[in-house]
Amino acid sequence: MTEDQSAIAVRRQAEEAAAFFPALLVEAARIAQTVASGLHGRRRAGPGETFWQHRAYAFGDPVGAIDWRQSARIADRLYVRENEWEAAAAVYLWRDPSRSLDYASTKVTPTKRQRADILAVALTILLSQAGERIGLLGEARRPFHGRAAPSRILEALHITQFNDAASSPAPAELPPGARVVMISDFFTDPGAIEQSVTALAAAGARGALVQICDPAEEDFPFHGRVEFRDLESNDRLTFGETGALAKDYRAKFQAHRDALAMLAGKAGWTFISHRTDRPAQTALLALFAALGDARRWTQ
Amino acid sequence: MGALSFTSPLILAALIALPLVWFLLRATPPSPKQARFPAFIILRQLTAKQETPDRTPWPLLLLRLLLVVIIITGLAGPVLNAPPAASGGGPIALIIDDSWAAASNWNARRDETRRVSAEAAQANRPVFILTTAPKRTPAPLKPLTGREAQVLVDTLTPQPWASDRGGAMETLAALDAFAAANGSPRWDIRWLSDGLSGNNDQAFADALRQRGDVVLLTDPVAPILRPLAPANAGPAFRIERLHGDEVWEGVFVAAARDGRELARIDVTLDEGQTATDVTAQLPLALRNELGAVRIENASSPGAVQLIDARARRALIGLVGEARPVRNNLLDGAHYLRQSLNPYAEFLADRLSAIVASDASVIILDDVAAMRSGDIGALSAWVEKGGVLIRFAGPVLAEAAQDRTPPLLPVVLRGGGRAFGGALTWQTPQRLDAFSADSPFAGLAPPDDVFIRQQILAQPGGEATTRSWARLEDGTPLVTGERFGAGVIVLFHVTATPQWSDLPVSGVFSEMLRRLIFLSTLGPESAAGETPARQPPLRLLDGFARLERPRDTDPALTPAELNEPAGPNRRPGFYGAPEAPLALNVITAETPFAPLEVTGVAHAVYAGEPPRRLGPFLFAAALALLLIDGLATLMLAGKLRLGRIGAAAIIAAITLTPLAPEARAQPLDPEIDAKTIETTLTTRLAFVETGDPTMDKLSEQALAGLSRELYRRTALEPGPPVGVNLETDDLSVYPFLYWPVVAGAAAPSEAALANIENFMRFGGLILFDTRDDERAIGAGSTPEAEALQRIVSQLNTPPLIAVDATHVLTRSFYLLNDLPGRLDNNPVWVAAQTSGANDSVTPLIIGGRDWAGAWASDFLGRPVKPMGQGGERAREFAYRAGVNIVMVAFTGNYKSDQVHTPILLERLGK
Repeated sequence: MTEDQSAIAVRRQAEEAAAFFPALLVEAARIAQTVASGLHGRRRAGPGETFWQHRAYAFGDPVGAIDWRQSARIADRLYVRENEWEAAAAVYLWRDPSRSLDYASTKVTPTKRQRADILAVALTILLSQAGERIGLLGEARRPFHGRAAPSRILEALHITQFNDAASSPAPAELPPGARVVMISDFFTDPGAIEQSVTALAAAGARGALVQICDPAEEDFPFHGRVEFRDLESNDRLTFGETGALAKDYRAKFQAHRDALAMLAGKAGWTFISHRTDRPAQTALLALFAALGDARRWTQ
Repeated sequence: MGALSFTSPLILAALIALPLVWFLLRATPPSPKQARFPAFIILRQLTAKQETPDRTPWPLLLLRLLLVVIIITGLAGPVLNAPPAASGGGPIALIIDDSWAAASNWNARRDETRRVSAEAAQANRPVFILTTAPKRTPAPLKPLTGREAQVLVDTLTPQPWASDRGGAMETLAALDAFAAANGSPRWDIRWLSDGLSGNNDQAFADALRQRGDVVLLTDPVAPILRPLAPANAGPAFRIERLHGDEVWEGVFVAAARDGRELARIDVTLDEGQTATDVTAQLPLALRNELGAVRIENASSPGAVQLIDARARRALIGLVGEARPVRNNLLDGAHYLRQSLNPYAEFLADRLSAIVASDASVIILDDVAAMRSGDIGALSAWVEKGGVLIRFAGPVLAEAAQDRTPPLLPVVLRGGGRAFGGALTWQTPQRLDAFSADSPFAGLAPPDDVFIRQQILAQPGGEATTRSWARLEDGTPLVTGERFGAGVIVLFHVTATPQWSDLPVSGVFSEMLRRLIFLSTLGPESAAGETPARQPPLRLLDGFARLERPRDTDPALTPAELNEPAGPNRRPGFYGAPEAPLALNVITAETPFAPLEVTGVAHAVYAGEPPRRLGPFLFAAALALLLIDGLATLMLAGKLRLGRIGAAAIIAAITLTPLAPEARAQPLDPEIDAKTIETTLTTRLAFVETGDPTMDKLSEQALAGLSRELYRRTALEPGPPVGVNLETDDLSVYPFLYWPVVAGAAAPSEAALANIENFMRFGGLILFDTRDDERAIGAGSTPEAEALQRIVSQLNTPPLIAVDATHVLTRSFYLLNDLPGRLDNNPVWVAAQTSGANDSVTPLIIGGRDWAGAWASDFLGRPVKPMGQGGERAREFAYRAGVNIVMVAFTGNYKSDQVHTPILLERLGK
């Protein structure tokens, strides 16, 4: 498949996944001096389109700002019409580009990479419908918004390319109040992940970690003598009786996942784990809930 | 199932090594499964347990042990039914009666010879093999080793003739020299007899007894089929057997020469009954088609009788005045055919052609004038033995007025004689009597046949003596005269009932039949003065199968065909395929009696030949090896199969050696790519003439026509294609353009059949001689001659010229004509009389150079200039082409257009 065809397939499945959700409005937790005007009322007067309040004219207000109709009702007073200041939140996505995601244990399940791409684009669709701006973490370009955002994101994801060097997100300068969604299998040292999450959280970002796993990775359904080969490093490991190892493996796997959940919790982020044999909507729903949970973020 | 023994039993000791094999097999671990896995960070944290190698699964272990056991057993050389080692050291002599009677139980003989030669090979004794049926080139006699004998006995086959024990006695003497070299030990003689008595039986047995101990092996001889004199109802045969000690049931089958089964009769021989007669009761028409009768499923040549063409009916040449007779009942030929139909084939042609043919009887129906060349040929033919039957009539009566017509038995008086007319006082005369010395002697004269008119002979002694049938007043009705070896007969009445009732009476048919028998011509009389040798056509082999003759099989004269079969007179069919002569193994005289000799020990065939089991064991070992390989691959995870796939492979491996008869079905001849392509896209086709310029023009023409069809009609043909009449399958082409070039040879038989098939199943051929401007008179151009050569070979329907009402001028465009590049001479099509294919013409013949008008290059530009009328004429040529192709596709669907004016007129009213 060419990149175009893959992109079309991902886009189509993402549209299907996103079709189940209403427009996702991210609560703007912190209304800082963000540049662009957006759609979220900031509960204060400012540039916007929605009426906020009338106040008395003060010296220095432009004459054009006076609401003549309101002023005519009350004698000798002039009112100025103020609109609510609206601003759009920016959400930054990071999808693990390493080859580790290019794995599916059976023919019927998608690879983790496909599922990650679909989730990323589905989220983009929801966010763009809500008028949010979406960018890619580590990408120099400004975040995308509007109807073209899903295609732009798709393009920027380079869904047919792999990059094993970037298996944890590079530190990036983010505007304050940004949201970050990281999608990966996180089969790396939790320390490295904690480092990037902490750095982003320190810059004021909130977000979610989405761990995508294949059922085989979680359940370890092997028996007999098996030689395992790593997808990134091509290292080989041979085990005699893998069936006997399964219990041990699952314990270690759970420990790794707990470590990830803990580091996310420390930074106030949400940790979502997702299996590729489940529908993509389950992960999207969890993500939806996480990004939409205003109270948690506004505190 | 007999005893099992081993040729090299010591090898079985290797089975002791099995425990070692067991130990070795256990130690080898299978290679690990391969798996890609991303969660390496977790795997790395696992401490490896159980790194010891796995054991080979026990089914695999068992399989491998079995494999080793089978190989060791196979190497030890197991033999089933091995012959016991024979005692004595003298030579073993096999005397084989390989005659026709041995064929029915040949397998028992072959098994016996195999057993004996295996025995000889075991005991290292020399073998003499002596076959008693005579051979054209006798095999050189010498002692054989057992191995050589094993090879030789498999090549022996029964011969379709009787054995000659007297001749075998001489060769027996020749063997003594070899035996003497070894000190003349007693022979161990097995005489595999055919069970029939022949010449010198006892002498032969005595000669054998002098040389050693004789064991005579006999088996019951299968019943034979012997010809009897044909009965009225049909050819008769007798089924005979030697011993009536049990009930025999069989089926007598009569088959036509093309293999059709004509009759099937169940035959039962009761206990004690040794012979029964069977008559193939067939209608007369089928009797002539009889090719062979046989006892079903019998493999002996004695159970087959080939039917000679001499039993078939005569060929009668019929010559009549070319009269425009519309009604059959006024045509003499009709009555002749009706009377003789069961007994004769008819040939209607010119007289010279009939004389040259195989006809044994020629009938001249009221013919007086003949060309002098024909008269000479005809009289020579009669002298050779032909029967010339002439009928009177107005023409002959008229001719006899002036001069005596030639080739008549009596001198005629001019004019006729009529009875019972308005101006005569004589009443119609009855047929009175047949002359006793005539061929009609013994026929009862009917009392209901009246002669109303006849032609009269000059009275005189000659007319009386030559009168074979006469009226009540003594005037001859039929006169006849021997002329050389043949006969000339004159019926003084017509062959129609106009002059007499004779042609519609039963006696007429009988008279004609007797006359036909007078002919000495025909296949049976070929022996006469010219003993032509008849080449072999199909010969019987020893198992009663007809096979192609070999180059060495001699041609035989008819006289030789009556002698008993032998190596130089192989039984079978000889002569021409239409009228083959038969030489049978069993004739009416062939002796059929049991062999009775004294002084020998008797035995019967029994047992099975030794059978080596080694090859089967090795095949099984190979299959097990394959299963083992597959199982190993699957265990290692290198072969992924569903359960069904695995089961299929295992089944295939195990079942393949069990199914030696599993062969592919014979395929239909492969369809070539060109035919397939044409089937998918309709394409117009032209006949490749071999002239590249013409072929290119044809292709351009059809391309141009195809383009116009595409543009104007619903038909969207593909690019045109050139066909080779000899090789291509024409059935996929609806329309064939055939430009006839000067000097074109007539196509081969295969091609002609191909073309006729094409026309018969609705194809349309457009013959174009392209000589319109040069054709002044009919048939004057070389192209027209070439066309004549082609068409004369084809079965062409009668032709008419296309007129303005023909469907060809109505099928798409309304045209007046079918113009090509030229439009002078008429275009010919089949007259709509045949009714075949809905009366759609299968061919169009013309010289108008349609190709020249249609041809255009790839840009659509015309290639050749039009004859007259310019581009407008070309438009009409295209319209003609469209119409022609439409007829090829839609037939006469538009022929009702012809009536349109009338219909419109009626509607108007």
